[in-house]
Amino acid sequence: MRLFLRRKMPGLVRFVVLGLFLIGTLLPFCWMFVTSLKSRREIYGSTLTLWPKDLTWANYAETFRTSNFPQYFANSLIVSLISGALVLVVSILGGYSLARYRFKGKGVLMLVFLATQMVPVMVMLVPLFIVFGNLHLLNTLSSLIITYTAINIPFCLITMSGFFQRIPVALEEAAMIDGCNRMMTVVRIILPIMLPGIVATFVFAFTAAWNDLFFGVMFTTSESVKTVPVGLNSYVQKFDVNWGEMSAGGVLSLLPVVVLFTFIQRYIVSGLSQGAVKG
Amino acid sequence: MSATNTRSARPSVSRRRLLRRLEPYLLLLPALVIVLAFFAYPVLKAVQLSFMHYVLFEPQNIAYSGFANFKALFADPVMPRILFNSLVWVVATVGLQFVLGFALALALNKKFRGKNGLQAVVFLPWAVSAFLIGMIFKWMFNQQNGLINHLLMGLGLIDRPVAFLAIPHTSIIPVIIAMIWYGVPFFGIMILAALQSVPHEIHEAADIDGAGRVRQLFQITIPYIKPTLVLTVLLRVIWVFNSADLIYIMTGGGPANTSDNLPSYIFNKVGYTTDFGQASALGVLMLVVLTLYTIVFLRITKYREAGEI
Amino acid sequence: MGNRRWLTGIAAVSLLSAALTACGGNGNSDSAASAGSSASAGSGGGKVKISYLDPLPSSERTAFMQDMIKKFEEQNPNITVEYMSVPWDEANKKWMTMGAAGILPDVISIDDTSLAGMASAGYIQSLQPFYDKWDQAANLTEAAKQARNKYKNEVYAIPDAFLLQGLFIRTDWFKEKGLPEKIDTWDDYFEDAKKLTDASKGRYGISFRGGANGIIRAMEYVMAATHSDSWFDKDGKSILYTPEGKAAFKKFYDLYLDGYSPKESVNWGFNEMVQGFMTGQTGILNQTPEVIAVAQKNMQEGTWNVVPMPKSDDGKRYIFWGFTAAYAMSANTEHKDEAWKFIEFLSSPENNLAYSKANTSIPIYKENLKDPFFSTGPIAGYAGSMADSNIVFAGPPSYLTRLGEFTGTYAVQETQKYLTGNQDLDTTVKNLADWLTKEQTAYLQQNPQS
Repeated sequence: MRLFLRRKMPGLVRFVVLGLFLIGTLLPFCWMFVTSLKSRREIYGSTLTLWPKDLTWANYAETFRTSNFPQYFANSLIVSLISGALVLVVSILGGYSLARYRFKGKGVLMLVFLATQMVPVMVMLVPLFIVFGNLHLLNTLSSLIITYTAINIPFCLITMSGFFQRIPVALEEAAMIDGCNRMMTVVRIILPIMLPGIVATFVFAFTAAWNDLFFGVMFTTSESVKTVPVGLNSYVQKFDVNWGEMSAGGVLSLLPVVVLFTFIQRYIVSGLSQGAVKG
Repeated sequence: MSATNTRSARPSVSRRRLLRRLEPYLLLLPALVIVLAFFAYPVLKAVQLSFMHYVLFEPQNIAYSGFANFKALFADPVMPRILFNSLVWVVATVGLQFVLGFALALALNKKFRGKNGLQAVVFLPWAVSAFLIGMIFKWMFNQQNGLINHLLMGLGLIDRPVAFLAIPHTSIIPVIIAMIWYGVPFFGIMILAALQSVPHEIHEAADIDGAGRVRQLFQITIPYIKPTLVLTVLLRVIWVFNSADLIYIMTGGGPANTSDNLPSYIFNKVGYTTDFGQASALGVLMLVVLTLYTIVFLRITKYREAGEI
Repeated sequence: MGNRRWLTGIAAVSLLSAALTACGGNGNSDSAASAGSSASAGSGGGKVKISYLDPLPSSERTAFMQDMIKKFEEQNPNITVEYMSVPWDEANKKWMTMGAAGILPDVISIDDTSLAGMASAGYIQSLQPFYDKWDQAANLTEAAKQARNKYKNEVYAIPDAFLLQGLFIRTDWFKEKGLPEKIDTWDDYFEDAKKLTDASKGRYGISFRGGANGIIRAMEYVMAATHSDSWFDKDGKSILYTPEGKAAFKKFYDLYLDGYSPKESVNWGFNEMVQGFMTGQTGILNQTPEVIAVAQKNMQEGTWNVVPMPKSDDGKRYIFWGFTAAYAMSANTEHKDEAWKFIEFLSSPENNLAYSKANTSIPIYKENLKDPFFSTGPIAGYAGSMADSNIVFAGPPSYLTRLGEFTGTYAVQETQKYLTGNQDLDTTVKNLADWLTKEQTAYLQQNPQS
């Protein structure tokens, strides 16, 4: 019996824990989906229905018919991909430096990076507006790309340095003895091992850009440069929250991210199991 | 960077060694340029404004005012309440995010059928915009037609809908729940990525030694991934402390500021007063508090030493 | 000097990303170049380009406004108008930030609470010179002439349409309780609130507003109860100091404290109070006519109606009125004449009528009010108040530049403390009255003539 417990318990615990996570995670999503299938009258009806009485896809149709969602989508994708890529490259370089070199001013630099995250965005709004205004960058996708890149670098860079620190230095030294120079060693040996970290960092930068509302609302005004969260925000009107269409828009906005996650989460999982640490 | 420049003047140093010395700075240069170009002006401006009377609606009346903004800040009767809320907000949110995120990462740190799909799903909240999360949770916690009330009544736990978002002093709890839901995947991914890097040999060796799972966790795994844990918590605390959007959307800080934290208080207030002098003073205060926190945190966790495994 | 280096740095970074955008974006680089602030607009050729910022985007309204713009451009081939929008919740912050940065679009729609602040800061300019020459000025309704669109006695904005308060009622609930489907006096209002409340069924009398701007609803009643057309007496002291004023304040907030409105309404703003009414949580909603369009979409026909605001015991109706999206002109527009032309076009009788119908709001012209649209259905409730000669237009003191701060934050904190039992009545009323009186005194000192 004890043996049985010892063998089976971990699996059982895992099963229960994951089950709970699954339910907790899915509940809000399900509710959003259910809401997106209801008519306005049903959403505003005096009794709550757990499943739509008259199931309708009208909210989706309306979202496509009346809003610029495809455009918002394209904008969000451009902004998030570019800033995500920029953040990643810069963070790999800087993260490596923080993790592998001893140099003067390291602690100060780290504090400088962190300090940028401590000031509320609201406080920086007016100066940023003036700078971007002078550069004629307001109301462009570039302003968002620059903002998201700059804002996400500190976290991502420091996180990345943490990933580098976990790779034994011995590994690098061995490769260098074999005749690789530092650059080659990093690109050929270290980066592949770090794939999970790299993927995680990119996802972090990507989602931070994909989800931002504040700068999106403040920096863009034309339909042609709005992003998905800004589009969703306009379903909250002065007197009326269009729950149905907002939920439909929300579900749609999640689709590309679901695809992205399904695709890349493998790398987080499998990155190391075949990695060079063993071989 | 000027430090290296002066040192490079020494004639005995060869070009190669100079380059070697500059390497760490060169690698950090792109990040530094971008970050400074973006932040330096707004942050310095904020520091400057914190010592000024600067109300957007009074552009004719802008002048240095010494410490007036800071004095007003400490004289503000709601300030103790808001500082306390900020503390609760950070400790509860980050604490639970960490514990749950760790549990999630441990549970996922093994191969099993259906893992990929499951993993994609449980990480999903990370990919939702805070605005949407705020709206969905507000809708779920609603007194009328709220899903949570409906479920609790169905279970017989309450017999009348509760106005979760309007109870003084506890209306912040639903917001914290939403925030936890939002942040667990972040910890999950970070910790899982770190767990993946723990060499199997270590565990195999421990298994042979007959160490139990719990002991292995505390004596091998956690020390091994400590740098990641330390960093993740540090970054998250700063981020959560400075996060206002869910509060702003779900309760607006109400009733009577009992669910406001520092940034949401600024956000709400400055929107109406346009007093950026006052807001900047609060911003500077946050900067100081968080910097102190960072220094102390890094000291206590001995982050540097932990980094040199 | 220091700034310049940062600017160069930013410029370098932005060049990089701009280049990247150009590769990645399909046609977005084009919009990036052409969009932008008014400062950069209109540099090319004989065609003048102006921009318009709409704070109330919704699929219907955006389509309507863009249609208007198309018509305007057809009539004025040398002017193009770019439609821009910002969601309502963030609109206020955006106006002031754009104003501070000197990049406000040429024409913006703003509400009456923000107008004084924007005007005193010099972000929007006086329209008085244009207004004086405007041939339609004489045809405006009395209410439109009296609207809170002035700063230092000069017109700064042309109201888009009117909003005045009316009471939305759940006629089916009134029938159930055997109540007449109207609310004649404020006493009836309080009485009905009590009768409609049935907490066991989750039904409450009033869609109470405890959040931002809720104080305006309370002051509306205080004015009616004290027969005052201002928040202040002749000496500039708040009417809340008077015993009657305080009693009225108490009576109004008792609606919440006695449980005739939902517990959660302590936090409610516009959205939530409307939602509370529509989801069958509350029976009476004090709101403006724009909400009619929303109610028509969300509610079953025959379950609701709109009735005029109740009368005070002196037989008069003390009513607030205002606008949410009056047309104002940026102070640093380079195309004043074109901007005015656009405002004039949007404000023409014909377009105003179409706009008012689309938004279910009260038009600004006397002639337009005679349109049958405004005497049928729920909107007749508003027209009813307008037709009453015993009407007192009683607006908040929007000439105070800090009014928004009061209604949006200070009063919210104070009343919420009172409503949640953390502050007693005397302190609350005194704090509110002190705040208002201080501002009013300062204002009177600066503007002795008014």
